[in-house]
Amino acid sequence: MEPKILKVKNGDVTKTINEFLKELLNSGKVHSLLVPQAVPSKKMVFPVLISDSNQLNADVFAPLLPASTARIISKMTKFQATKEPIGVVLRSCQIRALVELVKLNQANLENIIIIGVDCLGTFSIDSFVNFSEGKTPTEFILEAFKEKGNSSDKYLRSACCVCKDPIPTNADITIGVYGVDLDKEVLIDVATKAGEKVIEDLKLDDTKSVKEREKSIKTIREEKTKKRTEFVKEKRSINGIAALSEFFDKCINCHNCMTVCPICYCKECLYDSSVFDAEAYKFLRKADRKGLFKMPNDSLLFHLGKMNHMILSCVECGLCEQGCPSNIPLMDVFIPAAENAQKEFDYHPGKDPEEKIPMIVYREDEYLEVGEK
Amino acid sequence: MLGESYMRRIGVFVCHCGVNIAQNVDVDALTTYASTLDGVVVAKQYKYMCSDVGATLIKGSIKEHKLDGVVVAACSPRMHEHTFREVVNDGGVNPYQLEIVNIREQCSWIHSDRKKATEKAKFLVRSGVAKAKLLEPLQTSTLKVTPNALVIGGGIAGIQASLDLANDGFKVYLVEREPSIGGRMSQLDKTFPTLDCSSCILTPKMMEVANHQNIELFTYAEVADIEGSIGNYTVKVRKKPRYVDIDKCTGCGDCATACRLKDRIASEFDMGMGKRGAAYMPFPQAVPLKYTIDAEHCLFITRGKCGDKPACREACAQKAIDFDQKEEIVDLKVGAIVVATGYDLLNPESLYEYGYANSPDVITTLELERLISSSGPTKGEILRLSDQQEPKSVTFILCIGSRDETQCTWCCRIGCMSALKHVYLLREKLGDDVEINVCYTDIRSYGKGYEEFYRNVRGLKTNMFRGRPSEVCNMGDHQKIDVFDTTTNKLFEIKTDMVVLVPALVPRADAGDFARLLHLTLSGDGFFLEAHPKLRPMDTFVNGIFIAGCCQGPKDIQDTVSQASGAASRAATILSKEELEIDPLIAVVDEEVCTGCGICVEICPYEARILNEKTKIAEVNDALCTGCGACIAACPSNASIHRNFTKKQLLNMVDDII
Repeated sequence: MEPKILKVKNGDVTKTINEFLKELLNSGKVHSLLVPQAVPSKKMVFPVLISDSNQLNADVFAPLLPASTARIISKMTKFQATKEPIGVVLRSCQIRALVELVKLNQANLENIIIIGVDCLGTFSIDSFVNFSEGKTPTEFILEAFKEKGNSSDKYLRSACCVCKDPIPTNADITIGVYGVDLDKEVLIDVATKAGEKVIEDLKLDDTKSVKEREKSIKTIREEKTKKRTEFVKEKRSINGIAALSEFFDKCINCHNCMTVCPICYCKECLYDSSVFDAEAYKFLRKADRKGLFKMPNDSLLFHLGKMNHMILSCVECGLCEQGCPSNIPLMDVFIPAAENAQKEFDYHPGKDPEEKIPMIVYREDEYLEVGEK
Repeated sequence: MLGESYMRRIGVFVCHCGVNIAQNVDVDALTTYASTLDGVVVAKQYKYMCSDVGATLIKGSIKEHKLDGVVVAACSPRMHEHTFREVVNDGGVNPYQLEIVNIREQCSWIHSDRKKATEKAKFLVRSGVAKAKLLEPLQTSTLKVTPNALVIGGGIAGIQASLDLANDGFKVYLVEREPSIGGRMSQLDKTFPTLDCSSCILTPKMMEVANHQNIELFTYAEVADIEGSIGNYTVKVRKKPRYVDIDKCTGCGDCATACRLKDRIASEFDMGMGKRGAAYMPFPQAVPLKYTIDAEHCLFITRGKCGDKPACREACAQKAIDFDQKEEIVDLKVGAIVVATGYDLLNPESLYEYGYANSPDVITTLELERLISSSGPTKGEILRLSDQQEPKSVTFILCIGSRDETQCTWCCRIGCMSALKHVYLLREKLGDDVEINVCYTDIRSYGKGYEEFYRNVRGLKTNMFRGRPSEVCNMGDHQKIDVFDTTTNKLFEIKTDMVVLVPALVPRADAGDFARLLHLTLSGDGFFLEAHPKLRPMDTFVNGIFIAGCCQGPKDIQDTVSQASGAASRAATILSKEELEIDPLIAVVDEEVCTGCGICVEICPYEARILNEKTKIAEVNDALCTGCGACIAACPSNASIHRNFTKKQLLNMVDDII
């Protein structure tokens, strides 16, 4: 289907999109919508599941990712696919995470309509809640975007600064802003039959050309890739046991990075179990051998274990870093490690739902003897 | 669980293994050390712990010290784990609360510094005790056995295995993909070293298969799918349509005579040298003695038209020709399977220097078999294919692709003897005036009566050249061979009328696909891998599936028949039991922890895992699980647990030595 546009009224992009979403809800083509919307205190924006269009006041561009939306969809659909269609508004990183969860049998996309939003980046929770530029963070980031300036960069989380790709892939419908004159219009790009079915009754205008958008997407992807390459190059030096131990010095073993990770899907983490408890004599023997050793003793092991489990599916959303109460810049190790590991297996998390996770794929060259080419 | 480990009463038993362990490990020091370990109440040593005296020592100690766990420090668990499980069970301790510590293969045999080896043995024992403290008592479960066998492949191996099992009283399904059983052996003329006529000794066995009340024969059929496990396999057999109702066919041959393509299709049985029609029987002694219509060539099947009416159908008085036959799938229930799928010969075209593709007068041994055979394309006359003349000189080249780093590294084991046999037969048929040359690498005449046969043949005016020819050149009316003889250190140029290549034996082209279907393992050479080269040569890594004959590796008829009887006996061991015990050392799922991601299902090589779609929890089929541990390593949630190899137990082992 050719891309459509929404005409922006009075320069209010957020309101225009809300009217579109309301129409969607009222058309009955979706039973409910999962959208980011301000909580009553107005301080935070969280995903809400809405079936009453009168209560809809979504803030799809709010620069905040308080929790993994992919994980929320997993919770709703893992045991049974939804019978009623649900429209879910997601950023690109959360679509990637959702695709990974589907591969891991942790979510079911039947009757889930993915409405992707071009992502302008997100702020840390602190920056968002205590925003003091005299306007809301959403207004601020939209204006910065329209002016093509970089005034919002200083607020962006590090994961967003070096984002793999802010343009949604695998969305049924995409709300596009890159390469679009936001004063006049917002792009509605429909990529799937399911998406077409949802908007078929809505009266949307055709767009004249998407060339500008294609150009803009190419530019933003190139920019992000360049930044990411530099970031990876710079952070690669955090390597080896000594450097990693120092890197995780501030870790208080709260395992919050694991709790907020959209991919980490175990019901109970091995590191939360009693597997590492042991008789005192073993600890004493270790103390005897080394003279001293740091307690708790499994924090680095935990991080390496978590990395080992998750790195191939890491979509680089940065929620682990945002969740760390000790402000450990986790992306500094996770992004370079993800880059290396995913390249090694030629794996692209979140890109293609049909691409199998490397764990279950056998390649002939994996059978080579050591030293054999 | 941790609390309980303090309460354990472990006994440690150190074996000297004669001097195997004792000479490199200070067993006195080790035993004394073991007695000081946490949880150990007694430590003893003995020269041969696997002997009756050793067993009595362990059982006595269990009683005296009220042991509830046993650690035996001895050889590899692959050797005597079973022995010691029985011993501790007799003594009154659950057999799965035994831990074997390998201080022989993993210590005394591989170290020379006695002091350091003793220190290492102490670490190993300490680690073993740490695990023993957490070992849980396990019970075996049982499953009922279906007393039927499936034999795949109707060559001499499959025939022998089928007959043995049928004579033991078991129902046998024999599946053969060709129209007749008989396999490679049926193509041979004489067999070495006794020169028995191949069909004379094979045909009676084929007939016995055909007439045996316990054998159900499926020819022109293939195994399509297999499910289940030892004791209870369900096998889907695909019966290809042969367009002849074998209940009606009398084998009279009227259809073959009438066939419009008669003598126009190269006969596979005669290695393409003879001709057949589309309605054909591969060879006169075929079992079953039924005709088949070759769907690939038959005019009526390929073009929908064969004259006015299909000639064969018109000719058949029994009305046995049925062009409406469809492929049929039959489900068979069996308890054990013998795989005897045989071998292929290396196509010598891949070694272009031997000129197989360049001249019809360069042939293989199997082609010569057909030429020598009185039922072959020349009715037993040795004729060159180029001019239908008797050759004045024949040269054999051995090891075509065998013992060759670029082709097959292995020895074909029958090449030398089959070439020598042919030399004998040619001398007999063509007389003393014919020149016979043999270019060999080494003559390997290792079997009973083989060396004597070799000496005999050498005396028959045979020119023996020890060397591999560099090239066979087609000179039109003759072949020119350059060979450097390493016994005389001279380069020879041989002019010869006929060259016989002895090609390597290679795995069946579809051995890999077939292995995947049955979950068998291939060895590096591509043949099916046996579970142990010496002690379990007919077993595979899939319980209940056995291998026999050349599908396991090249061998002669003698060895093939022995192995087939062996495999049949191994299968009978299972089939003769009403119930089988299932080893409890397999995977289980912690349902509280399993997230249902399904990685274990994808990764299990034995299809022992399924995902319960209702509960979203993975399950283990106990009968299929071999305890290989792939799912344990793959499960990120630690929900896949290998009984008595839990993370806790393994970490405890590691923790105790660092």
